[in-house]
Amino acid sequence: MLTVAGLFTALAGVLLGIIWGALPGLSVNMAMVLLVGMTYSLPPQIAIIFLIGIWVGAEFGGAIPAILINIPGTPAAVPTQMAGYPLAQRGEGGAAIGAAIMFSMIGNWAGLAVLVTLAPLMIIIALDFGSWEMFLVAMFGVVISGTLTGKEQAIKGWAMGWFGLLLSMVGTDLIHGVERWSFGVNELRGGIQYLPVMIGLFGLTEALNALTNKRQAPAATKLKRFKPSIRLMRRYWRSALRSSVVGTVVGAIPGAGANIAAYVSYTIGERATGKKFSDGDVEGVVCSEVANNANIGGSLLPATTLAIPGNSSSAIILAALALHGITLGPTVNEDHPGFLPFLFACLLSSNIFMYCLALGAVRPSVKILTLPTGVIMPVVILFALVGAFSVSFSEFDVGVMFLTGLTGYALLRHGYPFAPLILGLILGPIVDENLRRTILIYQGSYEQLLYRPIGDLLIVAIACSFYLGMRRRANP
Amino acid sequence: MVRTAIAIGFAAISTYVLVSSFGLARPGGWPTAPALLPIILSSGLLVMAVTIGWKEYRTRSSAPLQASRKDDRSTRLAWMAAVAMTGGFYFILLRVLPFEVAAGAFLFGMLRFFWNKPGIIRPIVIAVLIPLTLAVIFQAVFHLPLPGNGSVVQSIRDWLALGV
Repeated sequence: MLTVAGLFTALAGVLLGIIWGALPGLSVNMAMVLLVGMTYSLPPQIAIIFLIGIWVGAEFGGAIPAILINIPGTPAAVPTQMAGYPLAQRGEGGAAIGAAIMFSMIGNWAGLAVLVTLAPLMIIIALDFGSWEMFLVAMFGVVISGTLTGKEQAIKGWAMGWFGLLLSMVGTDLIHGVERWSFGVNELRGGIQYLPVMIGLFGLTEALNALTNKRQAPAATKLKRFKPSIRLMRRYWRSALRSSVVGTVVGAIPGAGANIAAYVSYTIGERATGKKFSDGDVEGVVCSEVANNANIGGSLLPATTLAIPGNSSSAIILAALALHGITLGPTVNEDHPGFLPFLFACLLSSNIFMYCLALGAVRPSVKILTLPTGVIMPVVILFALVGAFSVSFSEFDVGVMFLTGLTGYALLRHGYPFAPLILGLILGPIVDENLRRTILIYQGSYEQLLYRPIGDLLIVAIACSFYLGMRRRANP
Repeated sequence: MVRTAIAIGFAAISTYVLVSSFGLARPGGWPTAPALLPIILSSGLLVMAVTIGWKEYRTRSSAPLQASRKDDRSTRLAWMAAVAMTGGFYFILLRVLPFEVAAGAFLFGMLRFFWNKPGIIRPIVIAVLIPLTLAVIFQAVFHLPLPGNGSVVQSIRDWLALGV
């Protein structure tokens, strides 16, 4: 990591991430997924440094347009927009931006601290997991993801999760080698690759959606002094601490992304302080930014130790690693010694670079904020095509990307979330293999499964997730 | 209509998977059958699709029309234009033209349609610069091939290499 190339890559990734996040309508996932293909020829370490840098940079970058032009750069920056834009209108945009820089860094530190502390513990627990627990934890990931992202209709989230699981069944079965729905197509024999699907959903779909929701080029509010001050830390440490906990916990729940973390933290913050952040309040920016950045470390916790991504961005990291032949899970320390410390170092350096670059990149970013969608999105579509092709230099992958992009557009406009589908597609093989292995092991004595406490806990968690989703549907 | 069509689509896919699962080989019997999970999943998806479809149908028949027809038409037109140009770029232009030329033509068309600025100079500049930059980054820096019927940048590099 501490090579010139590594540090330079982290720097480039963070800078690109800040700029990308600052461009309204370009999400963190879009940035990461479109650039995965470009990292194909790079050594795996450099590829991961680059992607982590983009992730950290873009998560902060989204706050810039949210505060200055009232358009969130990323979905996770919506609460920042609600609390920050009224401040910018009052001429206090500098204070809001300063707080966003300072507390994005603190959020990242918190996420990293949790990851460093809990990852070894999580690995010890995960090593005790049998097939039954692995099956249940993967199913829990898909169900809770559907519950949390399905908005007013959790059933749409579950349907997407189930559809993702079904898509993952395509290809040669892992136990008997039986071909399932590959229709004689060579590319389908190995299963549907999830990177082209992700590029279709987060690249093409979102670009089409932005192009059909035309908006006028916004005017940026003036930005005065914005240096982050240590006084902010003394003043808002309680909110920072609370939001760190919220951000990391939400991040560790599969499928719950930075946007959910930011919303939950913002709402809890309003209740705890008794303030109305939407009138314009730096503390609202603090709650939102700490949570959406702490989410990074939190989401990497299940991704690294259980191979279950905490959100779509960590799913992209898993996909990028798979592209380089690296699979994570409870045996990560044996299979890839030194990988976890390397990942911690990536997050650490990206966070430091994010803080330094943010100080210099905010003013130039303001200039590009006003670029119209009609210019940005055609370039995004071009990137999506090239990115899908670069996954395995196959025109078939571009076709998959095109098909999922078009289908995704219809699904997005009718309230179907993408995170459960991605999670289902990634976790499908784990669910399939472990369910059948469990049946084989416990054949004839299934009652023994009830004497496995972690399994029982997971069954209760799955039942609670379904119950919460159904209750929300009953009381919208 | 699209909302109901999505539910019907899910129902159709799950029914197809459910029925065809029974035709899959079962080398170790049902407990380890490759069709076991697909049967469970497709049954679940079928129930969900029917529930969603029924709910969408009920909402549609009771809710007033919210979006204006004019908005619908302009959205549909923008969507069709974007899809047609992207499809044309991938399925036609890239088969016959080098990457930079095909991408340039695609970008120029998209910019002219979606960018509400008069004049053609700026779209031309963007349509030339972006594909060229992409080609240089992918081919000269990362040594990755690009889609398309060849590449201008690659041809120039080959020509220069031959010259040396």
